[in-house]
Amino acid sequence: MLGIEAEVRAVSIDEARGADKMAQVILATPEILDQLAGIPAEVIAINNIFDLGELGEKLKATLS
Amino acid sequence: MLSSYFGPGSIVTQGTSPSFVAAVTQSVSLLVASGKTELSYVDEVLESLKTLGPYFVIAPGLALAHAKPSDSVLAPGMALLRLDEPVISGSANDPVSLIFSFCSPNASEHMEMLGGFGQLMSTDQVMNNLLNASALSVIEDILLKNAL
Repeated sequence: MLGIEAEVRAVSIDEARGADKMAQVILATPEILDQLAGIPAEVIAINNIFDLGELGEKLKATLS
Repeated sequence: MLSSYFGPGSIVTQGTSPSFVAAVTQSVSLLVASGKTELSYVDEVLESLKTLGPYFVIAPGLALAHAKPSDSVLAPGMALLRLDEPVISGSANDPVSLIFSFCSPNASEHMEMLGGFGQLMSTDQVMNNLLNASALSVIEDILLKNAL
């Protein structure tokens, strides 16, 4: 959809916070955003994880 | 294949549930009953819900209850409790009628399952069809036979 190659991983909050290799972008539901505060990655709140339109729009805005 | 994750009796439809916590407990208990997890996994999921709030209500009307891979998980599995009367979880995606639960023994299986699930649920009309199915057999056809 966006024509971008990416490595995608599903991780726990602890893994996201303690990763040796930090992600460029983290997608998360709004409820856990505060748990991810302060980490050196772009954290994006996703309301509907199945809405490709929402995902595309938010990823495009972040990666542009 | 997504259908292989659903054990016997792991898809249930029901009129109501007293609360979101009760619905999640029931859905995760379907994983226990189908041999996918130990009973302790129910506590792990409820602890996540208590600590983090309804973070696994990931789409309007749909929860995907789960906890981290742990020794409580015996095999990768999925289950579904579909309620005729939705419950309130506290999420912006309320109310919730589809309470899926899943378990995975490790991170890579976790990704594979989520990928397959996401692909199915992103398909046009699948969510609508699951929410409005008038019979259990219709839901089973969608989830087990890819009859979209």
